Amino acid sequence: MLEFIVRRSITLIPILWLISIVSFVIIELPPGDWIDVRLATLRDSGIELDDEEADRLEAMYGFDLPVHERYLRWMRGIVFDFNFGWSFQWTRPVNDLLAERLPLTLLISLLSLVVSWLIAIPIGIYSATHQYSTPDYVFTFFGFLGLAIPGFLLALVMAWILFRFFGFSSSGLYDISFVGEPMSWPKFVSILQHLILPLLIIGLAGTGATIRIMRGNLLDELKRQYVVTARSKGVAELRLLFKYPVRLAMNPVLSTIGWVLPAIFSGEVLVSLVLGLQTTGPLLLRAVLAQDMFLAGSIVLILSALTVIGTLVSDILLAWLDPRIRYGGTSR
Amino acid sequence: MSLGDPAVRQSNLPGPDAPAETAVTFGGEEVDESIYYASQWQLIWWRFRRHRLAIVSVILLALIYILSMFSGFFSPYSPGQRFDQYQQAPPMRVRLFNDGRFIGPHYFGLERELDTETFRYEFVYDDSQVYPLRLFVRGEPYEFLGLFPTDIHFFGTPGEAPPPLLLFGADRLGRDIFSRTLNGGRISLSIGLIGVLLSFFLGVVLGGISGYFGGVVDEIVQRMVDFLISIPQLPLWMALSAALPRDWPVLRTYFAITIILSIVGWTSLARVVRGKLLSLREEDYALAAQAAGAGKRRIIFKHLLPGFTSHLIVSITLAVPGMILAETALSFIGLGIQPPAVSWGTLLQDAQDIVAIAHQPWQLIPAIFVIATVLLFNFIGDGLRDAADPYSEAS
Amino acid sequence: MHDHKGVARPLVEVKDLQVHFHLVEGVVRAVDGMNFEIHPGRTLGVIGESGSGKSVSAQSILGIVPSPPAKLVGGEILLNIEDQETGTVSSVDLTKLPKTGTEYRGIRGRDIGMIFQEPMTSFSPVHTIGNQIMESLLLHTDLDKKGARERAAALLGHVGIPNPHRNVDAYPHEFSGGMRQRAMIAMALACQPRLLIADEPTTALDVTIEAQILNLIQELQQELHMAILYISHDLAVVGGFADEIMVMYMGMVMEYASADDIFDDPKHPYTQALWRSIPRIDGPLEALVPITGNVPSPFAVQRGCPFYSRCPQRIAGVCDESRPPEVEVGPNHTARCFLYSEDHQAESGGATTNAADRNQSLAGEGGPERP
Repeated sequence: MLEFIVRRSITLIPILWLISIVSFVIIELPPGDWIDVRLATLRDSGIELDDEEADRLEAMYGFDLPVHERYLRWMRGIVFDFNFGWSFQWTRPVNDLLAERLPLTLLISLLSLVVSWLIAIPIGIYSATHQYSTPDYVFTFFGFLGLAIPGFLLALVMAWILFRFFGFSSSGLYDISFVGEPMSWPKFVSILQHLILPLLIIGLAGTGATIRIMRGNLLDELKRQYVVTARSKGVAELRLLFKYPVRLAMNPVLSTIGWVLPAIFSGEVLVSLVLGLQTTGPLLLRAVLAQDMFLAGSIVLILSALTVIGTLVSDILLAWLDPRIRYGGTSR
Repeated sequence: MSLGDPAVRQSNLPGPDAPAETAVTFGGEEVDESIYYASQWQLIWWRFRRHRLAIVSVILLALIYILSMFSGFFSPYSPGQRFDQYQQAPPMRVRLFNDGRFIGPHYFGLERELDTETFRYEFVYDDSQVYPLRLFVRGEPYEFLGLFPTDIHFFGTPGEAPPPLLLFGADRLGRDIFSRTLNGGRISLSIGLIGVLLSFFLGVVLGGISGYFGGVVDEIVQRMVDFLISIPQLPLWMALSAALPRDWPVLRTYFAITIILSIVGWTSLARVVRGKLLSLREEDYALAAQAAGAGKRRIIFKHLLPGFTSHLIVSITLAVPGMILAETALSFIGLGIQPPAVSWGTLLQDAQDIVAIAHQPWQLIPAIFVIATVLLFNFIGDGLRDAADPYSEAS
Repeated sequence: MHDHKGVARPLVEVKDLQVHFHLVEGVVRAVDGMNFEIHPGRTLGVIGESGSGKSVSAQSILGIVPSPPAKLVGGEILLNIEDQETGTVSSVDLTKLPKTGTEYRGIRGRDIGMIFQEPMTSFSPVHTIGNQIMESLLLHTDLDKKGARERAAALLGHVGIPNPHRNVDAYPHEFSGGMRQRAMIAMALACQPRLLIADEPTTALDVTIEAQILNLIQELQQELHMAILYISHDLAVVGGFADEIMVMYMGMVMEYASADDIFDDPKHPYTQALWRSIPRIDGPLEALVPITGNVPSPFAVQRGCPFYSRCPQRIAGVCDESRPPEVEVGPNHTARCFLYSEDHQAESGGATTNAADRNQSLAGEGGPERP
């Protein structure tokens, strides 16, 4: 098992390296030297800089260096000092901004994944064991709807319905009355209330697909010989269902983390934007619009790295759950 | 229980209008012999025809595409045309009866009144004057398919400066949302197709190379796919489209966005192609072709590709809605198509906050088109998938 | 080997069993009026082509035929269990029990064990072998987890798995096919069932392994004094193994006899044709005679004998008109054929004589070799 983890972790290195390159390309991509943008904003705010001062700034950010030197400088900062650079828009270190926003992003993303599974897996099991029943068709139809309705639209409509018919403003992480208040039970409840909608909506993006995968896999597993074997031993149906076929059908679901996580991070950006949640999503949009590229590049870097790590965790879980992968490693 | 028994399979296939030239008896049943000469595409078509939902979807989707393609003709106004006094007007009703008498389709103008309590404009019908609707009336000039100028619209109101008929209401600048929705479909619907074609090209070429040559090439392409899949798409798209200069002409932005979307889009198609190729190249007929001295390229394009064209078509159909949604999302947050160009995404920008939706819910009407299009593509893709897979009969 | 052990009642009595499969394409009569008995300590072999209903009839005894599409249409399956101490026999009609009820589940695995064809897929790949053997023990005995584990290891050792205490924790993919089938036997026999159903247990194995597995099953049978229902399409295997044999075709028992009788003196034209179609080792070299024609469509409803269209001795107007009866053709020997039916013999003696002649000549050649 340990060998598997080490082996699998090593494959992470080239991917992380590629991610860092792409993120750096993003930083370098906008037309024009963004030091010019910076100088222009400074001038706009009435600070007149002479050429010497401009040169000093350029040297400070390494703009007199060739591209690969700049990349190395940025990477060195991240790897050795855990320093992601400087946000011009906020005139603060990127680290500080990420520290403020990233925890909520992570919380929402992970909980969304959990919510998505909590909804999808029982439905998948029901649909597979009641194939072609009316609820099966209904779930399939809602699965389609979930695939077709973009999260941000659903967020808008749901927020409007809650506001219009229940007078509940779902904007923000908690009710405006709690702004600046220390954490208390009512504030906590308010946070929970405000989290339900985004969790459901972001989770829904993966729900339709997960239902399909779970249903399809379980239908396959139910036909397997080992199910008949277990039945011939006198195992009760429900126990049998969960001990054998469900357990085996879960494995492929687990391995979908690799593409569900990116989808959740993507959905989170838009839904947070619409629902006014202070996550990395709106931060990224503002950074991108203002061409605050260190911030934008860092967010892309971190979200991508997190996805890759999430996939690693799911692979390790999978190996832990499925001895065939743990020992052979050939069935992948 | 042999499902391969032709007599059994026959009973599942609708063959009424398959030419029944010769009928042979087989196992006591009359079997239409033409079935044995049916090409793969005919078989797929026969099976597809049985999916009523998919067939209806094809018709509806075709309708949406036609309405958008000829939006200049089908929409009564041009997308940029503003109507003063009609800012944020609600959708207007088309009436058939006036004072209980049938007088053909007509409508009333709207009168704007300021509500002194809320300081918002309220709209009421002004039924003093009846405006009849007519087919093929002259209105705003436009270029039919961008080819020749004309001013004939499918429907409209004859007369000098009649009040507008706003079927879906108006936006905050007093523009007709109906006309804008039809017009916006041109970009949104075509970006899906062009984006998928581009992804398809990349996917087939790279997936094909990867699947056929295997070894190091395969390893490199697969790592590339793994890598691209692991990057959250939207942040990547956002960052990339942020690099596009805002002052680019619409067409250039359009293609740039398409390319950006395809950068990620090709990966899933490449996976399908590779997986299929890997299993197909082990088939006897590929080995036979190799033994006969056929070159690799010939084997790929002549022998292997036709083997899974149907699967590719299914994958492509199911990939289009993803592209459409991506464009909508990007334009929605202001990073895609830039106004004054119109797409479904830019139309939804007006519906960005809850207050706007609360007061003008009709701003969400373009979203219905997005959702319908995505659903229809999915239904068609599903029908095609069942039809393309000869072993799916049992279900 | 062929002496009855004086048990009054058979362990299992199957009477006029009918199982139909309702498929989209039509109804398949997988088991169409089967009668047979299984006696304690004896082995009943079942022979038939694929699709003849052998597996379905066996699964019906356990009540594990997939339903839908399968539907038990008629008949009864009596399980007669003799209490060791009191000597009283309790009799249950299995067809009357709810398929998923506690009573039926109590019988599965405890009174009846089953070995399946595919040792590769018969175990769950993500649970240890020990876990899957223990499951039976925990369900049907008073053993606790520790005791069940000990017992599972002992069972594995008993069926010839090396290092049983370590291999209890092994996963199926770590075992070879032969080892898996041994483990499968250990699992089926965990609770010392009175009946073991073996559904082609050696088909997927090498010939050498096959012999080992057969020996193992026979040893265990003597040890546990259990009845075996052995299903196979391999005549040689069944011939060497079973006490009685029934030959199945299209869901019906065509002929039933002791193993010796059925090889030396086959009565039914189908059995005879079957024997002619397989090679013999000791006899003179002669051309094999394949059975002409095809198995009729499984969806077709047979009014008469299902073998009619392929039978060399068919009697037009009789065999295709009504279903042949099961006729007693000798002691403990029945055949479902009009050739031996009293009524029919009286009517048209000619055909019967003809058939008898052919029988004679076949018997004279000695029939196929019994391994």
